[in-house]
This record gives sequence, C-alpha cells and structure tokens, in this order.
Amino acid sequence: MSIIKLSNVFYTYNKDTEEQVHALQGINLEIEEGSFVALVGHNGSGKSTLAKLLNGLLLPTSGSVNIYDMDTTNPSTIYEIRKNVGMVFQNPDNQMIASIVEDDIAFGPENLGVPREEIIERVDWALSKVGMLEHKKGTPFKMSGGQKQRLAIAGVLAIKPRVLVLDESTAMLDPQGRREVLSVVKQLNQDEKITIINITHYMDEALDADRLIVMNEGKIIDDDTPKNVFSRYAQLEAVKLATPPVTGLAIKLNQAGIPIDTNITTQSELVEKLCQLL
Amino acid sequence: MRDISFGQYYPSESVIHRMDPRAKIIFSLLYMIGMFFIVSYTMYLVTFIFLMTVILIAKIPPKIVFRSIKAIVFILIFTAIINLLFYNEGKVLVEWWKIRITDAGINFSVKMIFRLTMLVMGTSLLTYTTTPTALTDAIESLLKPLSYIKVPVHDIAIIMSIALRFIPGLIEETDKIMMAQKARGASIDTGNFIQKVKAMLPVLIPLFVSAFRRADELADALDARCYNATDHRTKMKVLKYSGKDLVGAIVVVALFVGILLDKYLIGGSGLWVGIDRYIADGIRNLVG
Amino acid sequence: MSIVVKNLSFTYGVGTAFAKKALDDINLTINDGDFVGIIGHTGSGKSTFIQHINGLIKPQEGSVEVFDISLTPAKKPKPDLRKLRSSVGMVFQYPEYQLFEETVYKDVAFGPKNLGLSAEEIEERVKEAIGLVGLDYDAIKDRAPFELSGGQKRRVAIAGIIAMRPKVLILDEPSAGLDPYGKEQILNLIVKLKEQCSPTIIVISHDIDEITRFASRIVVFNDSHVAYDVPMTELFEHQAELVEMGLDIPQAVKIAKALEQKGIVFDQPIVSLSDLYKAIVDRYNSIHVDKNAFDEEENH
Repeated sequence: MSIIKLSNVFYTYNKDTEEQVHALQGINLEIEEGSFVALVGHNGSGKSTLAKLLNGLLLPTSGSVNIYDMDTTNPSTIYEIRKNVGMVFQNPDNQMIASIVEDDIAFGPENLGVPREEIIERVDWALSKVGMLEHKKGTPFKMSGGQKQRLAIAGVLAIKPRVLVLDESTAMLDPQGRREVLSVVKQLNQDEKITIINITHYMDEALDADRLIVMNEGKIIDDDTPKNVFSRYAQLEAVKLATPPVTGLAIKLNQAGIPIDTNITTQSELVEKLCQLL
Repeated sequence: MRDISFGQYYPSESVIHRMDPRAKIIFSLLYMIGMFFIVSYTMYLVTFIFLMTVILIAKIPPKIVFRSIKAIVFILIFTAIINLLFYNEGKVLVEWWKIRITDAGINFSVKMIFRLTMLVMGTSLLTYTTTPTALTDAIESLLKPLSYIKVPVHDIAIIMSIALRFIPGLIEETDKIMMAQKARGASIDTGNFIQKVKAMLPVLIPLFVSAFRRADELADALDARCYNATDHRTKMKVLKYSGKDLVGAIVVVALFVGILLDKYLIGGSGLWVGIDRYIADGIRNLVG
Repeated sequence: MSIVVKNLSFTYGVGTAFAKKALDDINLTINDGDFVGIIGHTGSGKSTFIQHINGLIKPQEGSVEVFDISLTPAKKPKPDLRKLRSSVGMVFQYPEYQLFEETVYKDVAFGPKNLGLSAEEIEERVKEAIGLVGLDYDAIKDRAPFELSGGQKRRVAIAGIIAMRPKVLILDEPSAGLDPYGKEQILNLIVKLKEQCSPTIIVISHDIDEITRFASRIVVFNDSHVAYDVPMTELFEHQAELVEMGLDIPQAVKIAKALEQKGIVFDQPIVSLSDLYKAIVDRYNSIHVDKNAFDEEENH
C-alpha cells in the first residue's frame, strides 16, 4: 500500500523575490509501506527539500503531498503526520535539546502528552533499538558522531513513527559511525517494519535499499532497483554522481576490455568473477 | 576543556546528591539569608562545621570546594583592606595620615572575609551536588505557580535546557574558530581595546553565522519531534520530596533559627556579641 | 627535516575531575616532501597533535621543532609564532565556517595581510591562490563567500591558507560533508597542491580509502599514542595491525586479500583501487597474451 503520495509537486524558495530557486519541479512519487528507499542526488539536487515536504516542515508551492491520506497543508492533521513520519537530520549536534540522554529521548512523547509510565517504557525501548541503553543517564557531549546520531534516531523512535526519513544523516559521520547508523536503520526496517527513506550522497548506502531514486535539478531522473540504476552508470556520472567503489572498479575493468559484468555491487561477487578470469 | 553542561557538578554517590533539587535550592536560599544575620564568631564556627559536615557527607574533596574561593580571593582581600582602612569606629590601634585602623575595623574585616567565603562555599555546594539539568527542572517546578498568571514557564524551561545543551558546543566552536584564525596569522589577544574588538570580528562573524545555522536546524528538529503538539504536555521526570529532604530541612532551619536567636535574643553590642560574649566572659572569669 | 616531535605529552583539564590525556610521549619526524596520511578514531589525539605543530597549543611536556622554530614548555625564549604560521598552513575541518569577510578577495587576503605583506604582494598571492584552487579569479573575487556553493566555499577557505605560501600544509578532514563530486575535486586539489604549492602535506582523514589515493606514508594515532607508522607501500603486509586497532583497511586491500585466499597473488603491492585496477589488467593481459602465444604455437 502506498503511504506517501506526491503528485506534481513544485517547490520554490524565495518565491516572492527575484532570487527564486526552483528546488523541486514536478515530483510524482509513491512509496510503499515497509519499503527501504534510498534517494540520491548531488548537493542542490532538491533531495533535502523533498525530505522536508514529507512531514510538513515545508509545504509545496503547488501540487500535493499526502501522508496516510492526510494532506500536509491541513493544519489540523499536521501533528498526526509528524507523529507518523519521523525525521533525522544531518548534524548530530543540532538535534538534541537536553543534556541528559533519557531527558532528550523523552522530549517527543512528552510533547504528545503520553502518560508518564509509557514514556519511561518508550525511552528504554527506543534506546535499546539503537543500542544505546547503557548511555541512558549519560551526556552526549563526549560521544562520537555515530552515537549521537543513533540517539537522534532514538529520539524520533520514541514518537513511534511508521516512516523514518534520514536527511543526509550520515554525511558528517566517519565510516564507523555510518556503519552504526545504517545497521540500526536496517534493523528497524526488518524488525519493526518501519518504512525507511534514506537521503544520502553515498552510493554504497543505496545498496541496502530495495529501491533507489536519483534526483537531479529538482526532478526524478531514475527510479529502480539499485543494481539496475548502477547499470546505467553513464547517466549517474552525467549528474555528478558515482557508482559504489566496487561497481566502479568493475566498470573500469570492463572498459579495459576484461569481460566482467558492470552491475556487480558486492566484494564477494567481484572476487568470484575475478577468480574465473585470472 | 570541561563540559559546562555539567557546570561545577562533581559526580559522586551521596545523600546530598540525591536530595530533591528544589529542596536544595530553597535550603541554599535560606543559608544565604542566614549568612547576613550571623554576628558572633561562635556562629561562624557552627556554620563552618555545618558546611564541612555537608561537604563530607556529599563526598566532595574539600580542596575542590576551597578552590571555588580562589576565584574570589581578590575581591576578598580588596573588601577586607578597604574595610580595615576606612572603618572609623572602635578603639584606634594605628593612626597614620588619614588612615586609622581600629579594633572594630579588624573585627569587621575578619567577619566580612568569613561571611563571603562561607557564602561562596555554601552556594557552590549546590552546584557541586546538582546537575544544571536538575536545577533547570527544579526552577521550572518552583516557578510553576507563575504559569497561572500566564508566564510561559515551560518555554522558559526549554530555553534554559537548550542553552545548557548548546553552550558547551558554542564554546568549543569559538575555540575552533579562534584557532583557525590564529593559524591564519590573526592576533586576537594583542593591541589596544579598539584593535582587540576589530580583531574579534573574524571570530564573532563566523560564530554568529554558525549559531544561526544551528538555531535553524534545531527549530526543524523541535518541530519534527512534535513540539507544541498539545497543551497537555506530560513529564517523564516528576520531582518528589523524600525523607532526606525533610531531615535536610530540619537541619537547615535549626541553623537558621540558631543564627537568629544568637543575633536577636542573646545578641549584644560591641566587639564580642551574642554567644561570644558569654564565652569571653567565661574565659575572663576562669582566668580571673 | 621539516618537523621533529620529541616526547610530546598533553593532558586536557589538568588538575580537574575531568582531566584527559590526549597525547602520551609522541615521537615523530616528518621529512621534507613527505605526504603523510594520519588516521585514528575520534579522540585518539590526532587533532591535538597537529594543533601543536602550528603553535596553537603550547607543549606541556616534550618539544616540537618546526624548521628552525622550537616549541617547548619553557616560557622563554618566545617562539616566533608569526613565522611558524607562515611556514605551516593549517586547514581546519569545515574551513568554510571561518569565512567572515564580505568578499572572497578580502577573505583570502586576510592571512597574507596578517603577515604584513605589501598590497601588490598580497594581490599577487590572492590571485595565485584562487587560481590554484581552481576558481576563476575575476569571476569570484568580488562575490560574497556566503553565496557560494559548499564545495566553492571550501576551496576559497583553502585558498586563504595557501595564499600564505606555507612550506607544510596540514588538512584536517578536507573532504568531510561534501558530496561525491565535491569530494573528488578536493582530493584532486590536494594532489595538485603537493605538486605546485606546498612540498610537504599532512592530511587527517577518517577514510583510509581516501588516504590511499595520495599519501606516501600512513601514521595511525590510537589511544594518545602513535600506534603505526609505515610507508604506504608496506600497508598491504601490515594490514593485520590496523584490523587489531579496530580501523578499516582499504577496500582494494580487502579485495586483494580475498583474491590471495583464492590463490591469486599479485607481484606488486596493492593499496589503492587504482593499484588493484592496474594489477588486474596486467595479470589478465599477461594470461591472455601468453595464451594467445600458446595457441599460435600450437597452430604451427
């Protein structure tokens, strides 16, 4: 079932001035419940604008955004939408409001007026889902980026959303932190059936997704399985994107005249193929 | 670099740490008021013993508490000297030009030092044993009655909480920007006042830009987490007074009443006042 | 020798309940012309280390010698910090966050101005630096830094450092937060700077794949110590030590190791993906050329 429906969405920044920026230009998109979608594009392609439309942080200039059949422009259901679509942002330092971990996680449910006993349950549940339960009484100040970002996810989980949007949430993390965040997100998708929309510019993150959407200049230019999208690598390069390193190597080898498939995405696939050839 | 969201907080497991922060704030206020009513050396001694006992129970190394006085040593010495030199009552001990040192002046200066020192030690005990977060919660709870006259107590609490959360980050950031500009040859700490102000621009402008960017992102994060979704906001942490707060109240009130009794019932005038006089008389009788 | 660090130790918050040792008896020499990649976990001491090299932190114990300037815990003689900072350029993480002037020109000129250079010399250097980072001087010099794209801002910030013409350039996470295209451009820029601007370069990065693309020597900070210091060509043999420290090994090394287990061993050391690419192509061609030759022989 489609839970997110965007029809003919346009978004323009500085609409009433001369410095208009047309960030989104006619987006049509449906996302199925429980799916894991990766959305890629270089900086300025409109992907973050799209993210902010999904929980009504931004409202479309024209067209409509429907979440669980609720229109984001309807003020009476906006909190119902935000309860269902959780969002994690880029900078792990700018999302926490309290100095003690558990206080921060409790912030969302407190805002919703959840009874005290249930808040305590939710805090423990959310922290255990991101593997940070032992830091419950701690402070984020000395934590790594990956840990802070997992806390940000827990803060959103405590609202019990059905959709989790990651708006370049791994861009500022080191490789270790990225792995931590991605494995948490994958688990949430598998165990809790939470729909994941991962907005990123790391192509290797797209490998975890079952659907890859490529954006350029405010438009969707490709929408397919990651393997199929990577096989159209020339198109990706044209919009300043790259394939994952393993695929990139396979493509280069292929171009050098070695008969190897260009849709290889994992190391084991590559090694297996090379063993036959070398 | 220290995490100032911890303030001066000294983490340790003690009854004092576990007391209700609201109780600790009220006790500190009572203690501060009490300090201004102390007249006799004996009461200073009693209060000092009280302080040392609390420090011991709180399991804070006394030298850490004494360190908080270091910051005010200059003020202490300055006020003491001023009082010593310009206090004109009492028996004159030394006289030189316009300056007159009297026995009452010495007495006054010494008591002033005691008073300020113990004031600072006492109040710093509050911050040593209570996290800023707990203080914020306590202030929110204590101010609660004001919400009936439409004071946005909760918003104030959120602002305090966010400030506590972001100040360490901003300090760290200032540090980083300062280093970066120094690496570009900026001389931030030399020159006269105007030069210094001008030299701070390369630090202040990026800092403001960054603070605004943070504020922007934070606003989105608050909205995304349903801030203001309902008027019936709940709280996970509910503050609760317990037996130890009652015991604390009895001790602090006893000290306060003692100080008042000493001043108003036993109290006299002159160099030796209150209980001091009895003790001084007693010693005189013994010797005599 | 450009930089000699001896017995350097440093502790943050000395004498407080929150004291933390950041550097513990560091000994390291960086030679003229070195292209060093430094990696390590967050809090391993690598940032504290590089801040010492630029005189931003005064040593608590031990000494740092940069060219002929000596930094020690002693109060006197005062080191010539201006001279030090003109020979060691430091590009901090997210350097675009330091931009503050109203035009790109003024911002890039800030460093040279602080060095007390003449107006003509400043202009010449600004022009050169903006050109070096791959921006069009005439098109960009009067624009406000804040209206540029992320990648452009970062290059302007780097131009501000290289306009000081440092002999050693230190970059802390130069590609952090950029998209793949911006990243690619910055990495290419670093290689270019090594050739055309600063003969000695030190890059801190979390991403070992990035470091394998250019560095000739790899230094690992772990737990306030220098835990590892090998020429890049030897990384393949010494990869087990990296794994032990919980650090990544380069993707190309992983693939080559996996191939090795299947009996495919390359003659040349594999560190970067381009090494691996060359090795595979060579091997493939030699097999097929040999095979072709063999086939031809058989036909005779």
